Amino acid sequence: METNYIFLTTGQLLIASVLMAVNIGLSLILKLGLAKQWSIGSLRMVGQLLLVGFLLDWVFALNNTSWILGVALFMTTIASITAVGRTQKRFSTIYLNSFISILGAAFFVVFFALSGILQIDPWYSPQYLFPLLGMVLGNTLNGISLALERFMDSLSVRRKEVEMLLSLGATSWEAAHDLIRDALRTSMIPTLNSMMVMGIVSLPGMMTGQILAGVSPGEAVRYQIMMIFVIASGAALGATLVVVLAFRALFNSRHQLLLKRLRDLS
Amino acid sequence: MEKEKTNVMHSTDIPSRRTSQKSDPVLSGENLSRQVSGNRIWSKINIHLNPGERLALTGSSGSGKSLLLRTLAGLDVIDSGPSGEYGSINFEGKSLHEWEMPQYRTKVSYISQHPAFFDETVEANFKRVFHLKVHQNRQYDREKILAWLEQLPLPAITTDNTGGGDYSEFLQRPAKDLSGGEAQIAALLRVLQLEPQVLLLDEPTASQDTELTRFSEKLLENWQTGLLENQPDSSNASIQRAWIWVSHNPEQLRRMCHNTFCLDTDNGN
Repeated sequence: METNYIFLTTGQLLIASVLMAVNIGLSLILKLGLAKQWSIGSLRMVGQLLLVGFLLDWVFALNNTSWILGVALFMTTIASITAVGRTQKRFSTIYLNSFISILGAAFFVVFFALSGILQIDPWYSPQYLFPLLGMVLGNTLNGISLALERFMDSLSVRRKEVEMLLSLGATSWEAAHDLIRDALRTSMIPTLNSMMVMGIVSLPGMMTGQILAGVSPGEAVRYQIMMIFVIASGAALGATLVVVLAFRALFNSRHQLLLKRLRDLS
Repeated sequence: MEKEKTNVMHSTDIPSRRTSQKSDPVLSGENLSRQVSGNRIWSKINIHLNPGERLALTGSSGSGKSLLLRTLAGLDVIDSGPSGEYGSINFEGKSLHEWEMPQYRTKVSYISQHPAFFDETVEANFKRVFHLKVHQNRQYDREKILAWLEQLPLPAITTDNTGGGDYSEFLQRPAKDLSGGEAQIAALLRVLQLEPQVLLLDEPTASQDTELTRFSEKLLENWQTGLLENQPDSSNASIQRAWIWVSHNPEQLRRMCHNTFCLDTDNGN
């Protein structure tokens, strides 16, 4: 399986980094003002990835359940903070809600994939857990931030409509239903679109990686198909959870819209 | 400091009013306070609305008239007062907390100055309300609404080419095409079809010209007296009907209201 796999030496990576000279050169010649950012970006990327490589190597070697789950939880926390960071409004429990949603959604689908589909024993075997979790977190994070942003935004923009329904006797759920649906659709459409063109416009990273590592394309595609299902359902679950939690935070049991709990980042 | 409720002179005489003067208030707010971002708008006010009463709510801009209406409609949380105590709202002898809010809000209806509509015809907007769970036992009645409109003085909301009187055209219009004044009338009709007991009217004719204002006033007066359903003063239900009316037009308040509640007394504490 790993017969034609090429191990990359540090020298080869240095050769690859020469390509950044193209970007920096273009920026200087065309006065794009991005030369410094390209340098910083490259260094950050190299540093972060090397660090992750070391960390994962270490966790793989250690093979200790609490460390594995600890790192997984840490990744989840970072993902939940990043998801909120991309939105323009805040309410007091937004980080907690994001964390609960991403944790619930990601762990459910990852656990399902590892123990139900791949039937790995134990399910948290790091070689499988981390790549899967990483991909799921990335996509769930996107879904959550899109759904949250849209829901909070339309609550302020469509406030009159929501309160009109409330004053005509709607429950808070009835009054927010259109907005919830709208937020979920917004969050799901990117996943759906990418599913539609999968393999035609884009060759997904995991499949490409497996092919590079010597797996036959026909085999790699099977993994990719499973992965897309897992990712899509993680993103949809996460978005749904976060919107329901945000709904519960911004309405009370007296069917009142509590917009003053929502504040803009300035 | 408590707000004074002052009786202002009224020239019109509506018989149903006097009979209800001594009865318990249909809607009352006790010790209500409100602050907005740290500023006290009003403190410990008491407001009572008797069955059949037409109460004008006045006060300068920023005195919190809309906030008071919204609070009475249960749309806003009741704030704590200066010494931390919470006020209360009672409707038909029951505390607000005992009411299911959707039920309460169909009986005590708040009508915003700038009503919102869905992007569909006026009639579809009217029908849509009946999809709400609280109204599942009621049905949209087009004939009833047309009959209401036909009682009114002028075909002010119909287009000229029909020669007037064809209100079904109004129902077919896209809600987004209504003028501000027409939208206010549509919002009134949308609420009246749900048979409310109390209307909380937030400048209900502010976007209307004289003609439309007359139209709206007549519609509301017919609702309040029961004339709308051709049961003037004979039905108990209509005698109970009451409103709190916010307007910047003193002439209108004199025409449409018996009593005045002013939010403008000193705000010192």
